[in-house]
Amino acid sequence: MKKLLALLLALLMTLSLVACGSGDAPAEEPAEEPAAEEPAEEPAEEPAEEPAGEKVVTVSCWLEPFPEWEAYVLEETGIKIEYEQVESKNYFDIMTTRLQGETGSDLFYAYNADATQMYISAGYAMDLSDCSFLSNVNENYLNAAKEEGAGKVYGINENISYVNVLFYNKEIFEENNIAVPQNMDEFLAVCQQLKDLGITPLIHGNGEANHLKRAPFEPICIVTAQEGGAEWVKGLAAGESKFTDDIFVKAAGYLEQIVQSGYLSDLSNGITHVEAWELFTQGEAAMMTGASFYADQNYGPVTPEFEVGVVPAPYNYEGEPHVLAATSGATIMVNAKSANVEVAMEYMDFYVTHWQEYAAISGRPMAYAGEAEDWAPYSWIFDECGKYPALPYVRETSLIQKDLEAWTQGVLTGGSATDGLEDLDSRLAAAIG
Amino acid sequence: MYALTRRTRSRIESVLYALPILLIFVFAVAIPLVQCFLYSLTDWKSINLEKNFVGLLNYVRVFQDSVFLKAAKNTLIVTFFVSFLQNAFSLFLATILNQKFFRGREIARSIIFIPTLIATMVLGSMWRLLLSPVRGPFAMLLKALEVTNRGDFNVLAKESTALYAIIFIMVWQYVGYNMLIYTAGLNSVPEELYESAKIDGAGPIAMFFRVTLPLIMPSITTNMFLNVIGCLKCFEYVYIVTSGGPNHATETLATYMYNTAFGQGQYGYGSAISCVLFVVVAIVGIVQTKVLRSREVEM
Amino acid sequence: MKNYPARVFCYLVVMVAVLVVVVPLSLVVLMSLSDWSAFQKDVFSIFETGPQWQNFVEAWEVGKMGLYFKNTLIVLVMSLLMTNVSASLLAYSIKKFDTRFSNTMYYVVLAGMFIPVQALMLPLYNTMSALGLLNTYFGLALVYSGMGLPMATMLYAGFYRNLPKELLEAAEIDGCSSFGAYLKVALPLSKTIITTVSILSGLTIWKDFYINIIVVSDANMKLISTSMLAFVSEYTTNWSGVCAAMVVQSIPVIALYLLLQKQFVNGITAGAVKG
Repeated sequence: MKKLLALLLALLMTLSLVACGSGDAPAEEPAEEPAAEEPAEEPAEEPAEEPAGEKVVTVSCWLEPFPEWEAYVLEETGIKIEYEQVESKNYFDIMTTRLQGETGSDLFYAYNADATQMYISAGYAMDLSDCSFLSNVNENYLNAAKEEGAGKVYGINENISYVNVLFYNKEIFEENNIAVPQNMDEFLAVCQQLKDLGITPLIHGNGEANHLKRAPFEPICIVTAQEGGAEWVKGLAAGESKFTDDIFVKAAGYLEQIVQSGYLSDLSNGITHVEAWELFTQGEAAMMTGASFYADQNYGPVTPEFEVGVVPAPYNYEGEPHVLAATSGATIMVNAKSANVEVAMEYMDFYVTHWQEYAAISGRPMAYAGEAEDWAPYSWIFDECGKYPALPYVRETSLIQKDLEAWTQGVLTGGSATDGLEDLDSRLAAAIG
Repeated sequence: MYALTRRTRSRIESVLYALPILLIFVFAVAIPLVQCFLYSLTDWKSINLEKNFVGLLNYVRVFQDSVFLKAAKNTLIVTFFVSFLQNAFSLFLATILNQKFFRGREIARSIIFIPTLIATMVLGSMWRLLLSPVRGPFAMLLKALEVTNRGDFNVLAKESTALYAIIFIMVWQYVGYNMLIYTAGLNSVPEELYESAKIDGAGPIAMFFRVTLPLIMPSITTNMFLNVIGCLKCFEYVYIVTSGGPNHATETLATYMYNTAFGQGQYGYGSAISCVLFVVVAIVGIVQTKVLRSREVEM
Repeated sequence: MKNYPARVFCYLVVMVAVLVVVVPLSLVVLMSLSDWSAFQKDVFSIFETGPQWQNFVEAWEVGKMGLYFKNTLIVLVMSLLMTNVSASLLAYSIKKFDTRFSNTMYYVVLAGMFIPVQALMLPLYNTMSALGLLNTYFGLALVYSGMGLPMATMLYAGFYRNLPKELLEAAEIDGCSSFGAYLKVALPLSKTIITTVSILSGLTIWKDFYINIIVVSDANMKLISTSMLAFVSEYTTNWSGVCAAMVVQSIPVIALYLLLQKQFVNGITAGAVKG
């Protein structure tokens, strides 16, 4: 008997650890708040609010947190933000895992256009179509998260710094009398010109797989710039388009040509986009393609001595219009399965209607309904690029994202573009199932 | 209670004793494993919530998958080289450090062992930084020397060298660990055997192969076992340093599983890869133990 | 070995090995103490600017290391408790009762060694979520326990197998129940094994990264290994902070090793030599 009791005791101990363990997490948070400061600042009403139950909303993103904004929100609305930063390399993986387990944060981001559609069709995102705060959003940026064909809005592409542009070193171009390229063939000609002058034409951060879609003239971007291209890309997930189709093969040829002609700096492989930008601003290469956020102030200000020119990346072929392409990133969505939906929506309302304040505090260019001049520090980019017609969002194919990245890497390290295409087709077919 | 036979009492008691471990094992290992297997029988992808039963289709796909085969090849290369190099170096070092004349052996052992204690994430980031073509000290040196083709030294970004860079990093971390085990093994060889071998006129090389080696077989077994299992499952290093790139040059079975399941949202297929990996590791582990154990006994 | 050239060769080999280990590590320490922008221009800038101790302070605060250290310790203690208790109970019962059930249990648990942890990440996540154990100390401890069980069980079983049966029987003759014998005889004798298991499992937990990332989403619940994430975002330009975080993270374990060297060595080699 005694041993039985002893064992039961052991079990009870273990069980009590369970109760203790689950209780621990919520107990942790209040301990962390620097509570000392707040009461001194707040007017008398604040203490009355808190006993009613704290309003907490969880947000996760790959960007750094902005404590100043969080304090501002707490002061104005009483909502406490719990921010989790997940490295962008892992963001899609982890967010999708959590969402399918129904434990995602209250507010989350769709990492790219494909993720957006995926989350919408899987039912993770709340329908925001009827919300009043949408009036503060620049209309162009509402298109990203509409369910294709149905027109309902499920999220907002909040950050305008995801347009694909070509940065060039103004000094080098002016000194050598080089014209800024307006299409692919002109671009290649400029590269050859620069190479003949002994200047490295291009640099790009090929080391990060999730930035390979911004590689100089990554084929999907070129395809999207053509008429009918966006439909072709959509057709990939439906199994109608193949990588061996002419439209893609031709585009892939350009990437191969750029690499094989030696236009790309040999340092490009293995470096991150931050490092590539640093090298570019140090004069390592004359041009750099990528997203407009590469010029983000956070990476270091563009010095007055170094003049950077910018045009939309010329993905178009000769004779086609030079368009501005954007990869939709940072699309914020509200978790439809969250237990905390009312507070989340309340915060969302406050957040979107106060984007101007947020932009001022965080320095991020938000897509609020306003003029291009408001979009500092990106106004210099949008002054230039805003005049070009905009494309629909370049959509990635998340089902074989890694395979595409691997193929791109293969071409970037000197491999043939056409070799791996049939393989890609069969992998896509197998993935669709 | 005491009316039950001793045998039955034993049975009941053994179940009771096993209860704690059973609970942990069931919730933390068994249930997830079974779930993994069940997922592998579906076509579950992240783009929709359906899970349709497709039987063993995913497994058929696994063996026709060229990237899987490449990952398998890479994993084998890593396992072979790491096990061989790690064991060779550590045994060599352990033997040298064990020599009577050697002074300062404790310090040397401690230093060489320290990398084992440091987190993989830390070391992976460290090596990525050190080998970086832009930020690494070595690269800065090249820049100062005005070497023109700095890109050629970028070991992590070239398909031909990336895997070997990973092998180097792995050996670098764990040589100390193996060395420790070998040191203990070497210390357990009785002095008299060396004495009598010397009397028989054996030189140091002969002594090593005839006396030392057979008697440290248990250490060799353990080390090989740990190394092989560890390498077959190797994930963190590869993922942190190169993420399986460039172009799958450093893709191992575990990173391929992770990239497929999480990076591409093909949960069903990814689970099938995990199950295959599990079976492979289990078979290798069991076979290895049996083979090496029997040789141990012989010697 | 009186052969002097051979001796010199031996010392050279070891020196190379030591250098290969020390140089990368000291580079990291150097970077953690330097001002990053100065370091980029001149690798030895530290001699001009002096050691930048504020890198460490910054790493501690921005990386919330105090909080994460605490979390890690709590999870460590819980997990080690669970692992040691359950493994030793099973091993004891194998020795004492030797039933088919306990022997089968043994092999089943051991098979867990072959499972690559990443394979279980998705189902583990779903299971923990269903049990409501996400973002809890207990949930994390449970997962780590599961990972550490195979090795722990093997060590305990091996140890108890070598215990003379008479010892346990003597305790019973004195009037203890079998559980009493466990408490009074087996457990006190297993001190070395407890140390071994604790060190091995503890190291795994301290170094782990991916389990933590998946199971824990609450930033306040993360463990020490993820504190580095605060610095290693792709937008990082301040690698000195990263290096400082790396150093701070590694120091406790290294210090512990240097203090308890004998136990570490014994722990790791226990069972390895005799197989």
